[in-house]
Amino acid sequence: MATDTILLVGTAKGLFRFRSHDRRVWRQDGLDFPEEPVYSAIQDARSGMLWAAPNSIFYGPQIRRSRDLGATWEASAETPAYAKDDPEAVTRIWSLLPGPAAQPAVLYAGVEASGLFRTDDGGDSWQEMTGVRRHATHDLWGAGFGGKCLHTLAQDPVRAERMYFACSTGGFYRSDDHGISWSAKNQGIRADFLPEGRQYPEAGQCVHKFTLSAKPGRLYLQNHGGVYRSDDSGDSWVDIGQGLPSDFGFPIVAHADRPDTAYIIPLGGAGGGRWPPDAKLSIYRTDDAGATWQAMRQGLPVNAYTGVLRDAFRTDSSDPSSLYFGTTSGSLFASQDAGEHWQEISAHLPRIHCVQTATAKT
Amino acid sequence: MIRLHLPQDLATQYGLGNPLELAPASTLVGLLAELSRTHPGLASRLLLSDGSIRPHLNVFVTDAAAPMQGRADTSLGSDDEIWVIRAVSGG
Repeated sequence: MATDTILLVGTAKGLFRFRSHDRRVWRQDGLDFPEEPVYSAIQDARSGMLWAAPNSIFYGPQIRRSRDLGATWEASAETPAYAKDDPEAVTRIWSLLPGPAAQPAVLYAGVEASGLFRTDDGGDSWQEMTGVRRHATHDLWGAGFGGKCLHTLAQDPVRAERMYFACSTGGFYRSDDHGISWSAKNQGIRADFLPEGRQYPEAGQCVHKFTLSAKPGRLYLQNHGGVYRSDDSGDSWVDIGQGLPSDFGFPIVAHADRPDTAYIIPLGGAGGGRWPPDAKLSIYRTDDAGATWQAMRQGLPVNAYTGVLRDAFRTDSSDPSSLYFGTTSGSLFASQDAGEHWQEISAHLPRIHCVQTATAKT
Repeated sequence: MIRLHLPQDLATQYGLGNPLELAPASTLVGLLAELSRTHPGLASRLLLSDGSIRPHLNVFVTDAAAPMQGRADTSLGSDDEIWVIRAVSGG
């Protein structure tokens, strides 16, 4: 049985789906939730089901699921919401994470204003995991340019009780009790938007993205200024941004099998336009856990005054790695050789928020 | 009976005819709560969790020249006609 690759591309105006038999020739396979901003769309590996979270400006956020790869979408009966007397409201859904394999009805949702919800019945009802917003550092969390959002969630692949999240601003947090309580784990991460001498607080950092690696305990993190690696599940972080043209950026992805390999897309920092340095859109790859970085840009545009957002860069488990990313100016790029060469799959899409891979048996 | 006009995209999503003929309710909150019994989640698409009308929606009741503002607990008559309309938004 052959397998098609599907790209789920969440944009400012809907979810676009692209499909390929060989990962070289692509066709647009669908457009769902037109006009509605989508920050997260995933395939649940446990069931093959698609999940997406369109955030309608008119009707608010909603979590949708598809059992037929996007041909039809069901709405969950309930949407994550804070209590009516809560000073904060759920205005957007930023991240979706399937639960453990042994609990196929469990799914997590990270929301704005930063908080975490869990469903135990496949999305029909949602309960807030209150340990997140009750954390002692919650008062330090604020809104970055994108909003006050809990944008990244991960389940430790080895320790079932261990989970991670990051929020902007707020920082990186870890739970060792299935998400009931959380610890801030930002030691070594710089907050360069704070006054000198106060740039390494317990929390309040603006973590743009983190990713697990193939090595237990190793994580990579792209901060609002600073690229970091942890080898102790976040207990400490080391700066691995030396040698980069800029250590500002949003996404970071790790190779599925090689723990020393990670990829980033640098953008200019403060005063640098938040577009690629010298306007040359480039991927930077490390194969030595961040000691050195190699620029790759063959097939990517110059004079590129664009950006790549935190969830708009993805890899998969193929060898060599396939890589995909989308830009804020609506171009979608793919590489089938670990970033050495790139092709533009689509152009002129709305601002791209997220890119995810999915598969379909044919 | 109360006639309720929904935005067509929302009516389509929930498989509803448009407009709807509904049994009278004393407030819009009550009307939508009843509708959500058969169409779960619909009320939360129109109202925030504190009961107020979502900010980019306008609700007009019968002959009122201006939309209902803020909370949706304004009294309804038993034969009112209600229009829920997407507010002016572009871009």
